Amino acid sequence: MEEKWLNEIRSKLENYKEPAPYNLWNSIEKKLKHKQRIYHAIFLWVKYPAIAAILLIIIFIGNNIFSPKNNKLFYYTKIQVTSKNAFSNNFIAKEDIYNKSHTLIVEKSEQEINHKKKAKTLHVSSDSIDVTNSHINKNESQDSSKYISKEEKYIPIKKLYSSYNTNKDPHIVLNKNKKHYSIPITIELYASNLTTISSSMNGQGELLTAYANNKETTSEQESIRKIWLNNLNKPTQTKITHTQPIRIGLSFNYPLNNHIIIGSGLSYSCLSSTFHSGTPSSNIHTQQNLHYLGIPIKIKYNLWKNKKINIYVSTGTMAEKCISGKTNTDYILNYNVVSVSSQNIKENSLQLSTNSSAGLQFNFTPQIGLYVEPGISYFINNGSEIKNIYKQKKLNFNLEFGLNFSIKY
Amino acid sequence: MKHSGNNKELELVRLIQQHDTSAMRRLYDQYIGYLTAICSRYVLSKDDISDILQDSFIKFYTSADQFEYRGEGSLKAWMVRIVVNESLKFLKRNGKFSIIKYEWDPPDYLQDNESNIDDIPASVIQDMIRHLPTGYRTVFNLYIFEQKSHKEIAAILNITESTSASQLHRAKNILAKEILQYKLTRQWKKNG
Repeated sequence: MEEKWLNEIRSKLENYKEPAPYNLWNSIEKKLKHKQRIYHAIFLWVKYPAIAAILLIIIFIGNNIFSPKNNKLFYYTKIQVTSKNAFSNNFIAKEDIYNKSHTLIVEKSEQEINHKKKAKTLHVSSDSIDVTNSHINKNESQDSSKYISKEEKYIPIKKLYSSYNTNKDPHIVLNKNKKHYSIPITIELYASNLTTISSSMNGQGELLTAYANNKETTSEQESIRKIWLNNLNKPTQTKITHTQPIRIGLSFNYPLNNHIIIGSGLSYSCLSSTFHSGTPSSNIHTQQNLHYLGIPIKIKYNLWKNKKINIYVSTGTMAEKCISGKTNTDYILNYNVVSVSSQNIKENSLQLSTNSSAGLQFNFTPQIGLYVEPGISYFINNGSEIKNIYKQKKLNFNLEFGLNFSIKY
Repeated sequence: MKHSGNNKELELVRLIQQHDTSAMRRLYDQYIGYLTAICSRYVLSKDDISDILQDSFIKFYTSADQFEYRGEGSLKAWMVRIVVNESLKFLKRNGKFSIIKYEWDPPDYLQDNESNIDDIPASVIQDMIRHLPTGYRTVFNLYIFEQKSHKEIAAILNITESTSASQLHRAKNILAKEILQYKLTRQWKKNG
């Protein structure tokens, strides 16, 4: 700055203070408290459930890594019992977790029955296995036919093995055949969408907002001014349309017991809106696309379940973050596009929502099911300035459908 | 433990980044005087000033995590930037901002020997600035206090550089005239 007096003005007023407007702090405090409540809500709704979800995943993985022998495993073991007499009893022991039943299938070859000599027979009882000597003669062979048929009794596989081991005579060979594991978690792949809304009002609301926006370059400001002037004496309209957002996602569910299942996962939502402001000949038209990534947490309660059909209710919460957003704006003057601009949108705050729904699942096979889940979602205002369907319509109806896989490996 | 001004400020910034509202109160008490003075150079009505300051403080609170403390004075500079931006947004939004283009520029008014303003109170100078028409006042504030170049001002206000220069020129002329009048009036009061 050239002139001395201007420098003096600057330094004179550098530390100049004025009394604050009346009641200013109270107004600020109120607004701060409101903001703080939102941050606190985020803390409760996101951090704790996220920690809970992570813990659950760890527990679940740990459970399966460190205790493969617990009764959640389901495997086939072929056991061969041979004795001195070269008779062998073949057992197939099968524990089926899904149906919560335990089956011991006894197979016997026909020869053994007709054999006259001493043979070991296995009596299958409820808790253990008795190995007894018994004589088989022709008469008894008729009675022993009961051992030919398949018997279904509960035998813990460990006990089976150990009781065999304590007996010196029977020579037991454990042949482990294929093992099949089935872990009761399900994966869901789903898509859902919410309803569309659109609103329209008179006036050039969006034009004014765009005009005041500092970020636009000179050519856009010029276009806006021209459009505005063009529309001065005409009726103008602002129309905002939020189209149906599409959401797809993947979730992992784990049953706590027969009725309650908890799950979490990842979801992606795409929110599309158009903003139109002006007259049919001269207007500003903006297309906005927002991409959200979210983590849902859900609890399902099975009301009724059989092999084919499953009816349940569910409730949950979701935390979403806008990971990318873009607007493309066309400035139209007398039906010609005179200027275009695009902008990246950032939303700093998280979007929280809660959801309650009821569902019907149809299982084609025990592993794969198709489900449909209509529900209601409520989106909590996160105080951001972005306009999207979550803000326009907080309470929303949605329909989710998807595939449910029980994994087996 | 060193209790220098810097450490205290840094501590305050950290608390605000953690959304501590009592730290906001301390920030308010410390800086509201300066910020009110700055805002009232741009905007005249007390109600509007109040609204702008409220919005500014909410912005301090919500965007504190984007602020990087760079030593003494950086906190005040950050807050001043936000208040000035909010004031400009307000002026544009309310259409109180009209810049009239003139064909010619009047000659400079103030002579060197008349340019001593040492004995004029700051409040009087502030008042003179507030009496400038909005367009001149805004350019004057941005040039003198925010130390923006005419090129920067042109981009902010969406005017040409030459318009910015002529607005400043006219602002200076009016101020110079006011200062002169003030001094003469005081002289007359002294004399008789």
